[in-house]
Amino acid sequence: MGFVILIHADKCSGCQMCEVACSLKHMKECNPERSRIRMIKTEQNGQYDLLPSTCMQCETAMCELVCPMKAISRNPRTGARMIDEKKCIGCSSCSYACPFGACFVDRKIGKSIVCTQCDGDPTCVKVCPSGALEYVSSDRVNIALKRSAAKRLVDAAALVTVTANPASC
Amino acid sequence: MPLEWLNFIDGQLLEIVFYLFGIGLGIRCLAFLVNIIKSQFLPDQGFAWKKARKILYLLAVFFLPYHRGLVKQPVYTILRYIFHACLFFIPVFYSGHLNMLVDTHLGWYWEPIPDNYIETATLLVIGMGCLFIARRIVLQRTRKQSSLMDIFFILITILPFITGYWYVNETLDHISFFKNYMWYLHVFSGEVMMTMAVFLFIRTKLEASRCVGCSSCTISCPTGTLEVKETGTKRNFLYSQYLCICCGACVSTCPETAAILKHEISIPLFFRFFGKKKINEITMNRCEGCRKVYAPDPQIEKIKTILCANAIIPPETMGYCRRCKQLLSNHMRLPHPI
Repeated sequence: MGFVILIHADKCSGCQMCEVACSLKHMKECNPERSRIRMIKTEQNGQYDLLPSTCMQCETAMCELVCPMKAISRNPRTGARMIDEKKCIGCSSCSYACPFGACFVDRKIGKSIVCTQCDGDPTCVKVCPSGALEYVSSDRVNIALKRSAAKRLVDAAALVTVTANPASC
Repeated sequence: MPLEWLNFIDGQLLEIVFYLFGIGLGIRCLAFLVNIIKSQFLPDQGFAWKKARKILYLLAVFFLPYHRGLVKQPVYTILRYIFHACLFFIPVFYSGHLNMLVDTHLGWYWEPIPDNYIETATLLVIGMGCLFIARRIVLQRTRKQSSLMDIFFILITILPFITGYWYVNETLDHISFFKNYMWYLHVFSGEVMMTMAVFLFIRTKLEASRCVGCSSCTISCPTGTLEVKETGTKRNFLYSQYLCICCGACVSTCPETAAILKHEISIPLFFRFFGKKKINEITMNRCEGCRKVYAPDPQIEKIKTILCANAIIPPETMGYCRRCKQLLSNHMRLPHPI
């Protein structure tokens, strides 16, 4: 049950189109700070890693448990978490509890916001030019992850064999 | 009691108290208007009437029986509204008072409410006052919050009504002291009540033992009366009483029921027209990754207890800020390829 936004890290080019589209659709302005999907950037050994990060749709969601007003619920159709804006008071309990840093309190409207998957039709997936974002059923995620891991292993093994005896090629 | 004292209570003191009442309330209204025009919460753009409309709306919230505290204590809030409405209507529309007013040099007169209604309402006020005092003494939660002063306010408020009722109905006239002096007792208690009303404020208080420092009360506040200021690792809650319209937004919002609206009598407060007062202080903790001031300590503790109660071990990422959490989670999920 449920759908997730699957992130292919190797395909992402870091163009930040998803952030712009998300904030434009939900907040009516191009402001990556107010976007529900955030690009994170790390630098390690001179190599830059750019990755989108968004709500993971946990099975037992901590945000749902700790909310004092019981404002967070699941969309019955897509299984995505959604926040009732009338109940939310902006105490940011959910943002402190979330292990992924996905939900946060928008200071302009004073309410907590989280990825709702645009009600089953995510804009970020539509605008992503490199196909790094994919909207899939959550039971497909494991298979996709396993496939990508296997591919990575095969590539690495090939690399090892190439570097071990360069004469063979 | 000497006659000149009685005449003083009846005559000059009454006049002084009326002037004090009018001027004091006028100054308070003026201070409210100046504060509300200065505040940042009015729309910046737009015409002047847009601002005026907002001010009128805020004033309407102050005067109309619409209280967001209704959500939490419906019966008590409705009773309180009836009580306050009676406090205004009984003295202003009682025919005896109006007959006295028409004899003065002002010569004002308006249509009084029939006497039998006034009598019922007076009994209602006295009954409700006794009920409020009993509530303060009996209920455990309110007893902790209230001091002797709160009971004193209610007593002072209902005393003119009691003496007035006795005076009109001649209930205690078989005792000669009350027969002679009930009128003066009524006038004097009324004067005390009116003097108190000038210096009586209703203020928001945050109970330090319950407040977790989430600052949702400051988000919900429509006038910017409650403000949060962070200095170092401390989060300070500031309050300016002349901006407060007693709408009860903070009371209804607070998830811990730490915010309460409470009467307070204070002469220095009356003269502090623009100051802000610190009403609570919460310690913040720093993100373990970037050392940025991040979350209030009591709230993190509360979240941990909730998670433990639901048989979930609080994750290690709890002490990190949002940005660090995103980095951490992705590093764990996506290690670098071999």
